[in-house]
Amino acid sequence: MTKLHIVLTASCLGVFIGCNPPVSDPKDYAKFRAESPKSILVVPVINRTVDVTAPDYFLATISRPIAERGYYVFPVNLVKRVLEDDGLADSNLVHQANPKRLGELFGVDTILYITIHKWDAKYAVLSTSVEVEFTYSLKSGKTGEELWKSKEAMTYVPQNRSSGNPLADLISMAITAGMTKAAPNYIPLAQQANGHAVLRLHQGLPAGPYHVEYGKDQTSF
Amino acid sequence: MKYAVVLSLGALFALVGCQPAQTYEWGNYEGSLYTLMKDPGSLDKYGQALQRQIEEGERSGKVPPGIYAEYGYFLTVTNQSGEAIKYYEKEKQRWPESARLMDKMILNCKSPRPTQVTPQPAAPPAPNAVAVPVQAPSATPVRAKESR
Repeated sequence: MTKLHIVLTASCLGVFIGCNPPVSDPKDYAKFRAESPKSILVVPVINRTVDVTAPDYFLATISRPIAERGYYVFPVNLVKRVLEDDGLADSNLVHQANPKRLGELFGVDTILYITIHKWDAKYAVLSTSVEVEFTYSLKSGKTGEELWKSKEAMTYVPQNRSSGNPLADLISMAITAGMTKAAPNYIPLAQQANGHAVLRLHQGLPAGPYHVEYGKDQTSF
Repeated sequence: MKYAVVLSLGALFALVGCQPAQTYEWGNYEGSLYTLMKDPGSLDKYGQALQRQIEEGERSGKVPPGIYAEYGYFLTVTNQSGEAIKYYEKEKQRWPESARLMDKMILNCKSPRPTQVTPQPAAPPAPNAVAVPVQAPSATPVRAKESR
């Protein structure tokens, strides 16, 4: 039953996506708990990759996981446009600005600074992998201090499922590679990375005030 | 068996994007914002998606944070300021955390000048813009001089 279960699960999934995180030391939440933030402003993302579209696309994936964690997330598109209208289109400038100023201007408890380090597709003949890597830093809008940080790396590799027929395997791999090449889709990976960043036990964000677990999850975070 | 449980849990998480049941109604928010970023010409579709999301969210009482405001902003940029204010007000009412920003957005809709929200060291918050006649007094003396 066990083996069958594994096979079924794996084939159901179809792809291998690393969902089992490496073991890390529990984070220190003393500062975070002391401030107990209610709201998070996600400012435009810094891009350290060659893909100029990455920051904008990324922005579409960040609100949901944080809101679902129980925080008030400022409207990311509105915030981006308003900053642009005021001459702060350059995310580097926004990240350099004093968090306390942003905290004051937007009336926000914390500011989330994200940098994209990887947003790549590695093309091979028979399989293509897609890779993303982000760092997150949450700073207090009151003191400017960092309250939480995280780093997430994710790789999507089409799974090598042997059908027992080498030729069939080759064809199937080539088809998968072709599909990935046509449109490497980073969005599901970014969603996964963000989900992990905020949800992982002893590493993620403690439940916020709009979450049922609020104030009750000290053993997990 | 333990392994199978771990694996199927992993699979389950992967399938639902590593998230438990959703608190809010997200509709096609992520997809439509992604499309908007890709193609700014899809603004109307983005607005429609937000509108639908709000309708569905209000039915279930699960409108996510920021969505009223995003729709308000869509209305602002499509020159429907009156309507926009209603949605900024809704955001403010539902999510008090947004109050300061929403007040600025509402002020922006009401006044012809853009509201200042950039970090400006030592800039006092703009008071209800009082038009100061700067040019009128200086113009008269100049003309007076010329006439002499």
